[in-house]
Amino acid sequence: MFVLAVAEPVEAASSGGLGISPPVVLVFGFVFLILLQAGMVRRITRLRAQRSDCKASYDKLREEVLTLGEQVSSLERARDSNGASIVALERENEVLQKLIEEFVAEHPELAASVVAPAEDEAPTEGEAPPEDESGAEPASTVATDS
Amino acid sequence: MMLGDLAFYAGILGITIYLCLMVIKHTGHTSKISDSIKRYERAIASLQEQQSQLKATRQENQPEVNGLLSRVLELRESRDQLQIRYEELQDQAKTGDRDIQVKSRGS
Repeated sequence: MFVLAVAEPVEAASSGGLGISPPVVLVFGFVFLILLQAGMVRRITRLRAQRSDCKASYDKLREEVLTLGEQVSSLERARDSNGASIVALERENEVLQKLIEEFVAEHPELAASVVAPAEDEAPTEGEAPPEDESGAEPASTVATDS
Repeated sequence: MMLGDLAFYAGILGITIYLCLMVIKHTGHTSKISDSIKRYERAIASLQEQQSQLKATRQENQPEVNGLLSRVLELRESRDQLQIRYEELQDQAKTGDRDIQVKSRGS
């Protein structure tokens, strides 16, 4: 409609050489720009969707990595704790074995009643059994696999 | 040229300039979004690498920790047995002493 309306003055003011009047160029440019604009809007929408996908997968991965990091550090803590527990328990067992040996040495008549390996010996009445002080608890709550 | 035509051309020109500006703006926006997507992709790649390393570490540590845990359980069990044996020995010794005393008094 506009093009038709503009047609007359356009001819009058036609730019020399090419035979295309500036208003026609303007109108075509206008239409081209509108199409370009639409294309760009579509592209931006697509890119935004892609970006939000990327963000979602990044967040998910980040969460997973954090969880894995926690699991790994929990395993390391568990390893240290279990190591400490083992040392404490071994010491405790040695003490107990020594006590039993001393006890059995003092009371040889009890040696027969003891069916245990080396630690069965006579009891010494004065000594109390060592306290249950297995310092570090084993980290039985080892991180579970996800 | 009529005033109306002039206004029409001016309008078209204005809208064209506006659209050009919009296109420029959108181009800038597009490049920003593209950069952001690239950054995300790089971050995702780095996280994936980190994730695989952490998984490997976890897989390495898990059996070791399980072994240590079972060793702790064994040691606890043997400690409990030793304690029980020690207490039993003490009880037996006490009972024996009492028997001896009773016998010596009786005789």
